Amino acid sequence: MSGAGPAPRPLRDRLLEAVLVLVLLGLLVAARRLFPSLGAGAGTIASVGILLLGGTVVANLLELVGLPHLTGYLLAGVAAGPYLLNLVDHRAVEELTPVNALALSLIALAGGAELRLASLRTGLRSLGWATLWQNVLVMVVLAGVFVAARPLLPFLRGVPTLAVVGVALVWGVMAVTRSPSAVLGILSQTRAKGPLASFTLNFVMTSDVVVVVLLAMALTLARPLVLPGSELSLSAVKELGVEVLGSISVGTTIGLFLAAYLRLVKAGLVVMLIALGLVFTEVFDYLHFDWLLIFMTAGFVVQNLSKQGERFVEAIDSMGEIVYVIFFGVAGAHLDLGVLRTLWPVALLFAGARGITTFVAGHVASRYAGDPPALRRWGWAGLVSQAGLALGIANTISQEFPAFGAGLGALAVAAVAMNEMVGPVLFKVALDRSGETRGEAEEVEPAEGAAVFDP
Amino acid sequence: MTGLAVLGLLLVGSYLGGFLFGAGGRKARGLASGAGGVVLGFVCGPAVLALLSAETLDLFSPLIQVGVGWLAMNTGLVYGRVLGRPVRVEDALWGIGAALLTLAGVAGAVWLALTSLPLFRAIGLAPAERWALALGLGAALAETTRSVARWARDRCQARGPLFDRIFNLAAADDLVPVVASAVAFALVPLSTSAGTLSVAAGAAAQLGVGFVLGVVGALTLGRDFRVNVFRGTLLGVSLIAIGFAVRLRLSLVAVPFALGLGLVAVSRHRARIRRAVSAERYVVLPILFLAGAMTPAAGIVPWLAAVAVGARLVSKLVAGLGLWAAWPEARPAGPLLGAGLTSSGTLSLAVGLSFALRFPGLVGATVLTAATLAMVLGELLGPPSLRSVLRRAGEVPAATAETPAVGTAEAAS
Repeated sequence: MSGAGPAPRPLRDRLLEAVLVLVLLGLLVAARRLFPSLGAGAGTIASVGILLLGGTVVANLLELVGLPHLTGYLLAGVAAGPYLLNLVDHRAVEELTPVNALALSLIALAGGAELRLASLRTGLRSLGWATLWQNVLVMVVLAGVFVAARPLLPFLRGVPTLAVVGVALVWGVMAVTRSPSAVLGILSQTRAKGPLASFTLNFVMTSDVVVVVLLAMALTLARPLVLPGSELSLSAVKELGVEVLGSISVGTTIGLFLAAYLRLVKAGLVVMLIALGLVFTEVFDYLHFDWLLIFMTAGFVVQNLSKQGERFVEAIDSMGEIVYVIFFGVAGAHLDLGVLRTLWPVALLFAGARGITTFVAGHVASRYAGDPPALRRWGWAGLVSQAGLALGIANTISQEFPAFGAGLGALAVAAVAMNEMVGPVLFKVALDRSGETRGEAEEVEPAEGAAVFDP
Repeated sequence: MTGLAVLGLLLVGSYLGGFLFGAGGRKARGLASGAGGVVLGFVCGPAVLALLSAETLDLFSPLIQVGVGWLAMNTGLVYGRVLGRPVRVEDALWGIGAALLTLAGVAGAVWLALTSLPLFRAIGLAPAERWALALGLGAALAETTRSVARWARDRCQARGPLFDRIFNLAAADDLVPVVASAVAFALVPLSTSAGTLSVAAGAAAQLGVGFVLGVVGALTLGRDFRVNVFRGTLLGVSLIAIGFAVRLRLSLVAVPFALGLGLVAVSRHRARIRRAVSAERYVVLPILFLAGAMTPAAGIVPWLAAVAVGARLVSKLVAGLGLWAAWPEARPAGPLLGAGLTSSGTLSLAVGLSFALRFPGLVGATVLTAATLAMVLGELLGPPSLRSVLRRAGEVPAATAETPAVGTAEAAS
C-alpha cells in the first residue's frame, strides 16, 4: 500500500473487522443449524450477499499484509463456496453464471474504455515486442512442458504422441491467455498510473484478439493430429474471420450508440449498461460472436471516437468494486478444491513453468523494445493472472477432444486457480514497487449530495 | 431468451418509461406518476393485452423479491423521519393509531364479507387462510404514503402546522403494515431445530433477524467512511436478509425493514446510508410495472379487493374524523380530513407483492389486487383531497394540480 491515500486505519478497527468476519460466519452457520429449511446453501440471492459482504470484509483485512482486494474476494468465495462452508452451494454457483457474464461484460467495457489511442501509439514498440515474445515463447514452452510431463498425466496414457502434440498446442494457447479482469481490478483499486500500468492494460486488452486468432489456428492444426480421420480444414479460419470482424463491427455500433446516449440523454447510464449487458451477452452467445471483444470494442469506441470517454469511465468506475467482488467471489466459489488437492503437484509444475517463461519473455521483450527500467523489471508481473478466458479455452479443449475429458479440464482448472491466486498479488507488488500506486480509490468520499449508488 | 435477458429488456423499458412517468417527464408532459407504471403493467399483463404471459412473469420472481426487500429496507432506513428530522412522538402515535384503525377496519370488513356474504362464503377458505387474507389486506391498505405530503409541499407549497402533523403521521404509520405482515407470515409456523415457533415468536423472530443483520452491517461499516466498504456492506447485508427471507418464507417486508432500522440505529454513517435510498428509483419502476402486470382482473378476486379498498376509504375517513376532533390545527380543515390520507404508495405494493409470492392463489392475488387498486384510486382521490384540506386550513397559498411522484427517493411509504 502506498501513495497519497489517507492515513491507514487504526489496528483496532482492523481487529474489529476480523472479529466481525468471525461473528458473521458464526451467524450464518448458526442460522443454517437453527433453520433446517434453509437446506445446504443459502440460496442464490443470499449467496450474492454473502460474496459481497464476505469479500468486502476479507479484502479490507488483507490490506493489513498488502494483499490486493481481489485476493480477498477470491478467498471469500473459496471459503463460502461449495468445497468449504457450502454457504454458496453448487446450484447457486451455477445460477450465478449469468450474473458473472454480466460482470465480465462490464469489465470488458471498462477495459476498452481505458485503452487510449495515444497511449497505444506511445507504447506500440513495447506492446509489439511483448506480444511477440510473450505469446510465442509461452505457447511453445508450455506446449513442450505438456508433452514432457506426459508420464505424469494419467489421461494421456496410451495416447499417440502426435495426438499429445496436438493437445499440447491448444494447451499452449491456453497458457497465453491473461486476465483483463484481474488487471483492471488491481488498477481500479490502486489507481496506478505510469508506464507499467499502461503497458499491462494495453497488453491484456489486446491479447484477447491475439488469443482468439491463436486458438483458431491451433485448433485447425490440432484436429488432424488428435482426431483420426480428420483433415486439415481452414473452416476455423473462416469462422474466425466472421467472429472477429463481426464482433468488432457490432462493438463499434454499440459504442457509437452509447456515445450518442451519453451525449443526448446523459442520465441513467448504469441502468442502461446493466440492461445492455443482460440482453446482449445472451444474444451474442446465440450469434456466436465474441461478446468480450464486442464490449471491449464498444468501450474503446466511446473513449477514442467520441468526447464522452471520461464520463463513461466514471459511470463504469462507480460500479467497479461491486462488479469485481461478484466476479472474483464467484470465481473463488467455482474453485474446485478437491481437484486442486489431487493435482497440485502437476498444476504447480505448469503454473511455475508459465511464470518463469513469462518472466523470461518479459525481460527479452523489454530489451528488444528498449523499455524504461520499471517496465524492464516488472513488465511481466501483470501477465501472470489467468481467469475465465483460460477456463473457457479449457472447456473448448474438452468439447473438441472429448477423449481427454474431465482429466484435462480438471488440470486446467487447477493450473488456472494457482495463477488466479498468485497473479493479482504479483501485479500489485510490481505496481507498489515501481511507485505507480496512487492510493486507494475507495477512500475518495463522494461529493456532498451525490447518492452513493448513483454516478 | 432467458429470464435475465427479458429482465434486461424490462429494465430498458422501465427506464425509458421513467421519462414519461418520472420527474422530468411529468414536468414536460404532465403525465401521471407511479400509478401510471402500475396501469401500464396491468395493460401489458395477462389480464388485458397478454404481452407478458404468467410464465414470463414467473421469471421475474427474483427481481421482485430483491426489489420488494430493497424498498422495505429503505422504508426502515427513513422510518420516523421527515425532511431530515425525526417526527414528533405524539404525531407518530397518531399515525400508528390511524393505520391500526384502518387495518382493523379492512380486516374486519373482509372477515365479515368472507363469513356472511354468500358470494364470498362460497370460496371456502380455511380459517388460517382467512386470517392470512384479512391480515394481508389490512397490512397492504393501512398506510398513507408520505409521498403525497411531499407532493403537497413541493407542488402546492404547503406549509403549516397541520401539514407538518400530516407529514409526521404519514412517516410513522409504516410500522403497522410491517408488523402486520410479519404476523401474517408467521401464521404458517416456522420450524427451527429447537421446535416450531408460535405466531408471536415467529413475528418477533423476523424483526429480530433483520435487526441483528442490520447491526452487524452497521458494525462492518466501521468508523471511517469508505465507499467500497459502504457499497459492499449495504448491498451484501440487504441481499443476505432478502435471500434468507425468501428461503425461510419470512416476510419480505418485515425482515428488510428491521434491517434498515438496525443499520441506522447503530451506524455513525446513517446520514449517508439514508442518502443511498435515491438508488431505489431503479427498483421502483420495474416493481410498479410488474405489480400491475401480476394483477388479475377476472373471478372473485377484484370484488374481494374492492370490498377491502372500500373499507379502507371508510376507515381513513373515520380516522380523519378522529384527527379533526383531536387536533386543534385540523379544525379549519373540516371533518373530511381523512380523504387527504387515502393515497397509498410503494410500501403497500411491496406488501401486496410479498403476499402474492408467498401465498400464490386467491390470498396473494387478492392482496396484490387490493394494493394496486388502492394505489390507483388513492392517486386520483388523495392529492386533490389533501390540497383541499390544507387549503381550508390556510396552509396552501395557491392552487396547483399535480400528482405525487411515487418513484422518487423517500417515497417508500
